[in-house]
Amino acid sequence: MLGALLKQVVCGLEKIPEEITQEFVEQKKVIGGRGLRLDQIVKLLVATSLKPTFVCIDAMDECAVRDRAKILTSLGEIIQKSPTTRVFLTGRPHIRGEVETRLPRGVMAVSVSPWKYDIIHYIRRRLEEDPSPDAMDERLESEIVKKIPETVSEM
Amino acid sequence: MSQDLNFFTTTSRNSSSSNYTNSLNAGRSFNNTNCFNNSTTNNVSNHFTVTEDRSEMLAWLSPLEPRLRHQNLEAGRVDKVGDWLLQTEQFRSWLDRNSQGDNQNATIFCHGQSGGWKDVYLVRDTAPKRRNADKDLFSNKFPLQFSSSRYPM
Repeated sequence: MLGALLKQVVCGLEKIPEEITQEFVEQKKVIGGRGLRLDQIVKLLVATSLKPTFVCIDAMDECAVRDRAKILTSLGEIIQKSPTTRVFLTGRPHIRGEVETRLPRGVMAVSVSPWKYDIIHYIRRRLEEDPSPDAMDERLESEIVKKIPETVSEM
Repeated sequence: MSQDLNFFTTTSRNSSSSNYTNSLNAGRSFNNTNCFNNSTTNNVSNHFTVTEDRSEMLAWLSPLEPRLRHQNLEAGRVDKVGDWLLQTEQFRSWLDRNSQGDNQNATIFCHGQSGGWKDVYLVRDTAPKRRNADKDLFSNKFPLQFSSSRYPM
């Protein structure tokens, strides 16, 4: 996953950094090739994040526990060494402690719960895009708009 | 200002080798429809970098294609949903501190219960606002989009 972040950084650069080119050449000598190690990726992410950089990772809680620890620790290392880098994470509340422990320089937590207005708006827009609008009468439509937000608010 | 920001997103879903990686992108390549089409042919050492080597190297860095993933997500985005999050004090503080070079609160953690809706809130991009750059609060700071790994519908 951090490799994918590095790829995004590199995509934005005019020229692929020398370190990456060299490593690419080196790994080609190995039969079957090999990828970058995690510590190399972290180092390169720090080196290429000279401009203000925002890293956004969704569904952090769905990552396997061991991988999550590695990823958070690596992110911690990156924001420690790169003062212009900021991190935006989402996840279920149970990983909050882990996030706060592993990431230096302060973590702000924001509770995100569904807003009825947002849900209704979202549903209406989706219904507008219904390819066969005749299949649904007004009653069914209003029931959908009423029931789904109720169900969500019970979660 | 917008040329000087990087904005990268991904998701941790299904472990570190996730197929759910989304979004991009860095300042200068922002207008590329696909960053892999970059025609840069600068030479570097080892006589190595021509366009196809660049593609090969990018594929080596990660087999995932965040740009395509992001385009798919963007297609399903609904305007205005989740705008409130961008107006919260926490989010503004996180954003402003960045621009001021403040050393605190490098991370914002949005937590919510399952059901997918917290992700919908992150399906919020700045696409319409790029067209109205002067009017928009975030246009100078967020030239790039962010979006969620999934939708509830």
